[in-house]
Amino acid sequence: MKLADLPEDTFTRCLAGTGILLQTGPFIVRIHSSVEGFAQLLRRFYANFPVVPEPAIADFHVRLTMPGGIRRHWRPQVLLLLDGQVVFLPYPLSHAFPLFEWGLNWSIAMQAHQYLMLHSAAVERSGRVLLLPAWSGSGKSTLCAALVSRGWRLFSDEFGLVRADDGQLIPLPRPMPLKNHSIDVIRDFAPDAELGPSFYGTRKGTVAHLGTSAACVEQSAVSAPPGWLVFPRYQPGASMRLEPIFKPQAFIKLANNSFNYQLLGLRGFQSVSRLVRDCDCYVLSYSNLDEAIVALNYLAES
Amino acid sequence: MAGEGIVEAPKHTEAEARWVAPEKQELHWESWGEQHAVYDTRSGETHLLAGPTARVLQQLVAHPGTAKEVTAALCSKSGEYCDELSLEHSTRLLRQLHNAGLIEKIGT
Repeated sequence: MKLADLPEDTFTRCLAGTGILLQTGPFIVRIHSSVEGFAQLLRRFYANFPVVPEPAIADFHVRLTMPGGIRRHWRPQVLLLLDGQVVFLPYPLSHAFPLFEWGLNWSIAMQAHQYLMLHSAAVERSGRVLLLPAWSGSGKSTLCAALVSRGWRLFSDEFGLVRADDGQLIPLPRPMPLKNHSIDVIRDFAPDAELGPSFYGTRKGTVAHLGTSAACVEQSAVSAPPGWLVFPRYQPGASMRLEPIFKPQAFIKLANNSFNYQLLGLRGFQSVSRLVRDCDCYVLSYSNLDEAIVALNYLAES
Repeated sequence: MAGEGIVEAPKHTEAEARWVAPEKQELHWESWGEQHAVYDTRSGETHLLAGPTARVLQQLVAHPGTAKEVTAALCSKSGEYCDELSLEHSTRLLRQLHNAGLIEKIGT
Protein backbone atom coordinates (compact mmCIF):
# COMPACT_ATOMS: atom_id res chain seq x y z
CA MET A 1 0.00 0.00 0.00
CA LYS A 2 1.20 3.50 -0.83
CA LEU A 3 1.12 6.28 1.72
CA ALA A 4 -1.41 8.11 -0.47
CA ASP A 5 -3.78 5.12 -0.18
CA LEU A 6 -3.87 5.31 3.59
CA PRO A 7 -7.01 7.12 4.79
CA GLU A 8 -6.07 10.52 6.17
CA ASP A 9 -7.41 9.90 9.67
CA THR A 10 -5.55 6.56 9.89
CA PHE A 11 -2.39 8.26 8.67
CA THR A 12 -2.65 11.08 11.21
CA ARG A 13 -3.46 8.68 14.05
CA CYS A 14 -0.59 6.32 13.22
CA LEU A 15 1.89 9.17 12.76
CA ALA A 16 1.06 10.61 16.16
CA GLY A 17 0.83 7.18 17.79
CA THR A 18 2.85 4.07 16.95
CA GLY A 19 4.39 5.71 13.91
CA ILE A 20 4.20 5.22 10.16
CA LEU A 21 6.50 2.62 8.66
CA LEU A 22 7.73 3.84 5.29
CA GLN A 23 9.96 2.04 2.85
CA THR A 24 12.54 4.25 1.18
CA GLY A 25 14.97 2.36 -1.02
CA PRO A 26 16.34 -0.56 0.99
CA PHE A 27 15.43 1.02 4.32
CA ILE A 28 12.37 0.95 6.54
CA VAL A 29 11.86 4.11 8.55
CA ARG A 30 9.47 4.48 11.46
CA ILE A 31 8.27 8.07 11.62
CA HIS A 32 6.47 9.60 14.60
CA SER A 33 5.21 13.13 14.70
CA SER A 34 2.48 15.23 16.12
CA VAL A 35 4.16 18.39 14.91
CA GLU A 36 1.88 20.84 13.19
CA GLY A 37 2.30 21.08 9.43
CA PHE A 38 4.70 18.15 9.09
CA ALA A 39 2.08 15.49 8.34
CA GLN A 40 0.81 17.32 5.25
CA LEU A 41 4.31 17.65 3.79
CA LEU A 42 5.21 14.05 4.57
CA ARG A 43 2.01 12.89 2.89
CA ARG A 44 2.68 15.09 -0.11
CA PHE A 45 6.33 14.18 -0.71
CA TYR A 46 6.07 10.52 0.23
CA ALA A 47 2.64 9.87 -1.32
CA ASN A 48 4.00 7.18 -3.66
CA PHE A 49 6.20 5.45 -1.11
CA PRO A 50 5.14 2.05 0.23
CA VAL A 51 3.78 1.79 3.75
CA VAL A 52 5.18 -1.31 5.43
CA PRO A 53 2.61 -3.36 7.33
CA GLU A 54 3.14 -4.04 11.03
CA PRO A 55 4.89 -5.83 12.56
CA ALA A 56 8.19 -4.89 10.95
CA ILE A 57 11.64 -4.00 12.12
CA ALA A 58 12.62 -0.47 11.22
CA ASP A 59 16.17 0.44 10.24
CA PHE A 60 15.70 3.97 11.55
CA HIS A 61 13.36 5.55 14.07
CA VAL A 62 12.69 9.22 13.49
CA ARG A 63 10.57 11.24 15.90
CA LEU A 64 9.65 14.89 15.60
CA THR A 65 8.44 16.58 18.70
CA MET A 66 8.00 20.05 20.13
CA PRO A 67 10.18 20.87 23.11
CA GLY A 68 8.23 21.97 26.15
CA GLY A 69 8.65 25.16 28.11
CA ILE A 70 7.42 28.69 27.75
CA ARG A 71 9.40 29.21 24.55
CA ARG A 72 6.92 27.13 22.60
CA HIS A 73 4.40 29.96 22.85
CA TRP A 74 6.51 32.75 21.39
CA ARG A 75 9.09 30.96 19.23
CA PRO A 76 7.96 27.37 18.69
CA GLN A 77 10.61 24.85 17.79
CA VAL A 78 10.86 21.28 16.61
CA LEU A 79 13.18 18.66 18.01
CA LEU A 80 14.33 15.59 16.10
CA LEU A 81 15.06 12.32 17.83
CA LEU A 82 16.94 9.67 15.89
CA ASP A 83 16.66 6.24 17.46
CA GLY A 84 15.62 8.07 20.62
CA GLN A 85 18.68 10.36 20.68
CA VAL A 86 18.80 14.11 20.18
CA VAL A 87 21.46 14.76 17.56
CA PHE A 88 20.71 18.29 16.37
CA LEU A 89 19.75 21.44 18.20
CA PRO A 90 16.04 22.31 17.82
CA TYR A 91 14.97 24.01 14.60
CA PRO A 92 12.18 26.55 14.12
CA LEU A 93 8.89 24.69 13.95
CA SER A 94 8.33 25.71 10.33
CA HIS A 95 11.53 23.83 9.34
CA ALA A 96 10.28 20.45 10.53
CA PHE A 97 10.28 18.87 7.07
CA PRO A 98 13.85 19.84 6.05
CA LEU A 99 14.98 18.79 9.52
CA PHE A 100 13.38 15.38 9.00
CA GLU A 101 15.13 14.99 5.65
CA TRP A 102 18.54 15.99 7.02
CA GLY A 103 18.04 13.80 10.05
CA LEU A 104 17.24 10.78 7.92
CA ASN A 105 20.32 11.46 5.78
CA TRP A 106 22.40 11.67 8.93
CA SER A 107 21.03 8.36 10.21
CA ILE A 108 21.79 6.64 6.92
CA ALA A 109 25.31 8.08 6.75
CA MET A 110 26.03 6.99 10.32
CA GLN A 111 24.57 3.51 10.14
CA ALA A 112 24.20 1.98 6.70
CA HIS A 113 27.67 0.49 6.63
CA GLN A 114 26.51 -2.63 4.82
CA TYR A 115 27.04 -0.39 1.77
CA LEU A 116 29.91 1.68 0.51
CA MET A 117 28.34 5.12 0.82
CA LEU A 118 29.44 7.81 -1.59
CA HIS A 119 28.48 11.42 -1.21
CA SER A 120 27.10 11.40 -4.68
CA ALA A 121 24.09 11.90 -6.82
CA ALA A 122 23.17 8.79 -8.79
CA VAL A 123 20.91 8.54 -11.83
CA GLU A 124 20.29 5.69 -14.24
CA ARG A 125 19.86 5.48 -17.99
CA SER A 126 20.10 2.54 -20.38
CA GLY A 127 20.55 0.19 -17.44
CA ARG A 128 23.70 1.82 -16.08
CA VAL A 129 24.20 4.31 -13.30
CA LEU A 130 25.88 7.68 -13.63
CA LEU A 131 27.52 8.67 -10.37
CA LEU A 132 28.14 12.36 -9.68
CA PRO A 133 30.33 12.34 -6.58
CA ALA A 134 30.91 15.75 -5.04
CA TRP A 135 30.78 17.58 -1.76
CA SER A 136 28.33 20.42 -1.15
CA GLY A 137 28.51 23.47 -3.37
CA SER A 138 29.53 21.71 -6.58
CA GLY A 139 26.06 21.83 -8.14
CA LYS A 140 25.54 18.10 -7.76
CA SER A 141 21.88 18.27 -6.67
CA THR A 142 20.98 20.83 -9.34
CA LEU A 143 22.54 18.74 -12.07
CA CYS A 144 20.84 15.64 -10.67
CA ALA A 145 17.44 17.37 -10.65
CA ALA A 146 17.99 18.57 -14.20
CA LEU A 147 18.93 15.07 -15.41
CA VAL A 148 15.88 13.56 -13.73
CA SER A 149 13.66 16.15 -15.40
CA ARG A 150 15.12 14.98 -18.74
CA GLY A 151 14.32 11.31 -18.27
CA TRP A 152 17.12 9.85 -16.15
CA ARG A 153 15.89 7.63 -13.30
CA LEU A 154 16.65 9.02 -9.85
CA PHE A 155 18.63 6.73 -7.56
CA SER A 156 19.55 9.48 -5.09
CA ASP A 157 20.71 13.05 -5.06
CA GLU A 158 22.80 12.46 -1.93
CA PHE A 159 23.94 8.84 -1.61
CA GLY A 160 25.65 6.49 -3.98
CA LEU A 161 24.88 3.23 -2.19
CA VAL A 162 27.15 0.48 -3.47
CA ARG A 163 26.45 -3.13 -2.56
CA ALA A 164 29.75 -4.79 -1.66
CA ASP A 165 28.83 -8.28 -2.94
CA ASP A 166 28.26 -7.39 -6.57
CA GLY A 167 29.07 -3.68 -6.96
CA GLN A 168 25.47 -2.82 -7.88
CA LEU A 169 24.06 0.62 -7.09
CA ILE A 170 20.99 0.61 -4.86
CA PRO A 171 18.24 3.18 -5.45
CA LEU A 172 17.27 5.46 -2.59
CA PRO A 173 14.88 7.93 -4.20
CA ARG A 174 13.76 10.70 -1.87
CA PRO A 175 12.67 14.32 -2.25
CA MET A 176 15.60 16.40 -3.49
CA PRO A 177 16.41 19.48 -1.44
CA LEU A 178 17.33 22.36 -3.73
CA LYS A 179 19.05 25.30 -2.19
CA ASN A 180 19.03 29.03 -2.81
CA HIS A 181 19.72 29.91 -6.46
CA SER A 182 19.16 26.27 -7.57
CA ILE A 183 15.47 26.58 -6.77
CA ASP A 184 14.89 29.18 -9.47
CA VAL A 185 17.29 27.45 -11.83
CA ILE A 186 15.23 24.25 -11.70
CA ARG A 187 11.94 26.15 -11.74
CA ASP A 188 13.03 27.70 -15.05
CA PHE A 189 14.65 24.56 -16.41
CA ALA A 190 11.77 22.22 -15.60
CA PRO A 191 8.58 24.26 -15.12
CA ASP A 192 6.56 21.05 -14.62
CA ALA A 193 8.75 19.82 -11.78
CA GLU A 194 6.90 19.41 -8.50
CA LEU A 195 8.61 21.87 -6.19
CA GLY A 196 7.40 22.19 -2.63
CA PRO A 197 7.30 25.26 -0.41
CA SER A 198 10.45 27.26 0.21
CA PHE A 199 11.89 27.14 3.71
CA TYR A 200 13.68 30.40 4.36
CA GLY A 201 16.56 30.98 6.76
CA THR A 202 17.58 27.35 7.32
CA ARG A 203 21.20 26.58 8.12
CA LYS A 204 21.70 25.98 4.41
CA GLY A 205 19.81 29.08 3.30
CA THR A 206 16.51 28.74 1.46
CA VAL A 207 15.54 25.16 0.73
CA ALA A 208 12.75 23.75 -1.43
CA HIS A 209 12.17 20.07 -2.12
CA LEU A 210 11.65 18.52 -5.49
CA GLY A 211 9.17 15.65 -5.49
CA THR A 212 10.06 12.11 -6.55
CA SER A 213 8.12 10.63 -9.44
CA ALA A 214 5.91 7.60 -8.86
CA ALA A 215 7.89 5.70 -11.50
CA CYS A 216 11.16 6.21 -9.61
CA VAL A 217 9.62 5.03 -6.36
CA GLU A 218 8.07 1.98 -8.06
CA GLN A 219 11.51 0.96 -9.33
CA SER A 220 13.18 1.39 -5.94
CA ALA A 221 14.01 -2.30 -5.77
CA VAL A 222 15.67 -2.33 -9.20
CA SER A 223 19.40 -1.96 -8.72
CA ALA A 224 21.81 -1.35 -11.61
CA PRO A 225 25.53 -1.58 -12.30
CA PRO A 226 27.67 1.56 -12.37
CA GLY A 227 28.57 2.94 -15.77
CA TRP A 228 30.12 6.35 -15.38
CA LEU A 229 31.90 8.30 -12.70
CA VAL A 230 31.66 12.01 -13.39
CA PHE A 231 33.03 14.50 -10.85
CA PRO A 232 30.98 17.65 -11.47
CA ARG A 233 31.96 21.23 -10.80
CA TYR A 234 29.65 24.14 -11.45
CA GLN A 235 31.65 27.22 -12.44
CA PRO A 236 29.73 30.39 -13.32
CA GLY A 237 30.54 31.41 -16.88
CA ALA A 238 32.61 28.31 -17.62
CA SER A 239 32.25 26.58 -20.95
CA MET A 240 31.26 22.95 -20.75
CA ARG A 241 34.17 20.51 -20.50
CA LEU A 242 33.84 16.79 -19.98
CA GLU A 243 37.32 15.33 -19.75
CA PRO A 244 38.47 11.81 -18.97
CA ILE A 245 40.64 11.42 -15.90
CA PHE A 246 43.16 8.75 -15.02
CA LYS A 247 41.82 5.92 -12.93
CA PRO A 248 44.28 6.40 -10.05
CA GLN A 249 43.07 10.00 -9.78
CA ALA A 250 39.44 8.82 -9.83
CA PHE A 251 40.28 6.27 -7.15
CA ILE A 252 41.65 8.95 -4.80
CA LYS A 253 38.76 11.32 -5.44
CA LEU A 254 36.22 8.59 -4.86
CA ALA A 255 37.82 7.23 -1.69
CA ASN A 256 37.98 10.78 -0.30
CA ASN A 257 34.36 11.31 -1.24
CA SER A 258 33.06 8.27 0.60
CA PHE A 259 31.30 8.54 3.96
CA ASN A 260 32.69 5.23 5.17
CA TYR A 261 35.69 4.15 3.07
CA GLN A 262 38.03 4.04 6.09
CA LEU A 263 35.50 2.34 8.27
CA LEU A 264 34.85 -0.47 5.79
CA GLY A 265 38.54 -1.34 5.59
CA LEU A 266 39.34 -3.92 2.94
CA ARG A 267 35.70 -4.03 1.79
CA GLY A 268 35.87 -0.28 1.10
CA PHE A 269 39.10 -0.68 -0.87
CA GLN A 270 37.64 -3.50 -2.92
CA SER A 271 34.38 -1.65 -3.58
CA VAL A 272 36.11 1.55 -4.71
CA SER A 273 38.58 -0.45 -6.83
CA ARG A 274 35.74 -2.27 -8.53
CA LEU A 275 33.79 0.93 -9.18
CA VAL A 276 36.78 2.63 -10.77
CA ARG A 277 37.50 -0.52 -12.81
CA ASP A 278 33.91 -0.76 -14.07
CA CYS A 279 33.36 2.92 -14.88
CA ASP A 280 34.52 5.42 -17.43
CA CYS A 281 35.83 8.33 -15.34
CA TYR A 282 35.50 12.03 -16.12
CA VAL A 283 35.52 15.50 -14.64
CA LEU A 284 32.80 17.86 -15.76
CA SER A 285 33.01 21.65 -15.59
CA TYR A 286 29.86 23.46 -16.59
CA SER A 287 27.74 26.53 -16.18
CA ASN A 288 24.94 25.67 -18.57
CA LEU A 289 22.67 22.78 -17.61
CA ASP A 290 21.50 22.10 -21.17
CA GLU A 291 25.07 21.68 -22.40
CA ALA A 292 25.97 19.43 -19.50
CA ILE A 293 22.95 17.24 -20.15
CA VAL A 294 23.71 16.93 -23.86
CA ALA A 295 27.22 15.73 -22.96
CA LEU A 296 25.99 13.26 -20.34
CA ASN A 297 23.26 11.93 -22.63
CA TYR A 298 25.91 11.38 -25.26
CA LEU A 299 27.94 9.35 -22.75
CA ALA A 300 24.92 7.20 -21.99
CA GLU A 301 24.08 6.65 -25.63
CA SER A 302 27.61 5.80 -26.67
CA MET B 1 76.58 -0.97 37.31
CA ALA B 2 74.02 0.65 35.13
CA GLY B 3 74.14 -0.64 31.63
CA GLU B 4 76.27 -3.67 32.57
CA GLY B 5 75.55 -6.61 30.31
CA ILE B 6 73.74 -4.51 27.75
CA VAL B 7 75.26 -4.87 24.36
CA GLU B 8 74.52 -2.13 21.89
CA ALA B 9 73.04 -3.30 18.64
CA PRO B 10 75.52 -2.95 15.82
CA LYS B 11 74.95 0.12 13.68
CA HIS B 12 74.42 -0.75 10.05
CA THR B 13 74.63 1.56 7.14
CA GLU B 14 71.39 1.94 5.21
CA ALA B 15 72.76 -0.23 2.41
CA GLU B 16 73.47 -3.04 4.87
CA ALA B 17 70.10 -2.92 6.61
CA ARG B 18 67.76 -5.75 5.86
CA TRP B 19 64.21 -4.90 4.90
CA VAL B 20 61.08 -6.91 5.32
CA ALA B 21 57.59 -6.35 3.88
CA PRO B 22 54.24 -7.61 5.13
CA GLU B 23 53.04 -11.07 4.15
CA LYS B 24 51.57 -11.28 0.67
CA GLN B 25 48.02 -11.76 1.96
CA GLU B 26 48.27 -8.59 4.06
CA LEU B 27 48.56 -6.34 1.01
CA HIS B 28 45.83 -5.92 -1.60
CA TRP B 29 46.60 -4.38 -4.94
CA GLU B 30 44.69 -2.51 -7.60
CA SER B 31 46.85 -1.63 -10.57
CA TRP B 32 46.54 0.65 -13.56
CA GLY B 33 49.66 0.29 -15.67
CA GLU B 34 52.44 2.00 -13.78
CA GLN B 35 50.18 3.24 -10.97
CA HIS B 36 49.11 1.06 -8.08
CA ALA B 37 46.84 1.41 -5.05
CA VAL B 38 47.87 -0.85 -2.17
CA TYR B 39 45.68 -1.53 0.82
CA ASP B 40 47.56 -2.60 3.95
CA THR B 41 45.26 -4.71 6.12
CA ARG B 42 47.51 -4.21 9.17
CA SER B 43 47.13 -0.44 9.25
CA GLY B 44 43.93 0.03 7.23
CA GLU B 45 45.82 2.54 5.11
CA THR B 46 45.67 2.84 1.33
CA HIS B 47 48.84 3.89 -0.47
CA LEU B 48 49.23 5.06 -4.02
CA LEU B 49 52.51 3.86 -5.50
CA ALA B 50 54.27 4.53 -8.75
CA GLY B 51 55.73 1.60 -10.70
CA PRO B 52 59.32 1.59 -9.36
CA THR B 53 58.19 1.86 -5.72
CA ALA B 54 55.64 -0.89 -6.27
CA ARG B 55 58.32 -3.15 -7.76
CA VAL B 56 60.57 -2.64 -4.73
CA LEU B 57 57.70 -3.52 -2.42
CA GLN B 58 56.73 -6.57 -4.48
CA GLN B 59 60.34 -7.75 -4.46
CA LEU B 60 60.46 -7.45 -0.67
CA VAL B 61 57.17 -9.31 -0.30
CA ALA B 62 58.73 -12.15 -2.28
CA HIS B 63 62.17 -11.99 -0.61
CA PRO B 64 63.26 -9.81 2.31
CA GLY B 65 66.70 -8.38 1.67
CA THR B 66 69.16 -5.52 1.78
CA ALA B 67 69.08 -2.58 -0.60
CA LYS B 68 71.87 -4.23 -2.58
CA GLU B 69 69.97 -7.48 -2.87
CA VAL B 70 66.76 -5.74 -3.86
CA THR B 71 68.59 -3.67 -6.46
CA ALA B 72 70.34 -6.70 -7.89
CA ALA B 73 67.09 -8.64 -8.11
CA LEU B 74 65.24 -5.79 -9.82
CA CYS B 75 68.09 -5.17 -12.28
CA SER B 76 68.18 -8.84 -13.07
CA LYS B 77 64.43 -8.88 -13.74
CA SER B 78 64.47 -5.79 -15.93
CA GLY B 79 67.76 -6.63 -17.63
CA GLU B 80 69.12 -3.20 -16.76
CA TYR B 81 72.74 -2.52 -15.87
CA CYS B 82 73.15 -2.25 -12.11
CA ASP B 83 75.33 0.56 -10.75
CA GLU B 84 75.67 2.91 -7.80
CA LEU B 85 72.84 5.06 -9.12
CA SER B 86 70.50 2.07 -9.15
CA LEU B 87 71.42 1.34 -5.54
CA GLU B 88 70.86 4.96 -4.55
CA HIS B 89 67.49 4.94 -6.24
CA SER B 90 66.39 1.71 -4.52
CA THR B 91 67.61 3.02 -1.17
CA ARG B 92 65.52 6.15 -1.62
CA LEU B 93 62.44 4.10 -2.49
CA LEU B 94 63.02 1.81 0.48
CA ARG B 95 63.15 4.87 2.73
CA GLN B 96 59.84 6.08 1.26
CA LEU B 97 58.20 2.71 1.82
CA HIS B 98 59.56 2.67 5.37
CA ASN B 99 58.22 6.17 6.05
CA ALA B 100 54.83 5.04 4.77
CA GLY B 101 54.88 2.15 7.24
CA LEU B 102 54.85 -0.46 4.50
CA ILE B 103 58.21 -2.09 5.26
CA GLU B 104 60.35 -2.57 8.33
CA LYS B 105 64.06 -2.61 8.90
CA ILE B 106 65.55 -5.64 10.63
CA GLY B 107 69.12 -6.41 11.73
CA THR B 108 71.51 -8.14 9.34
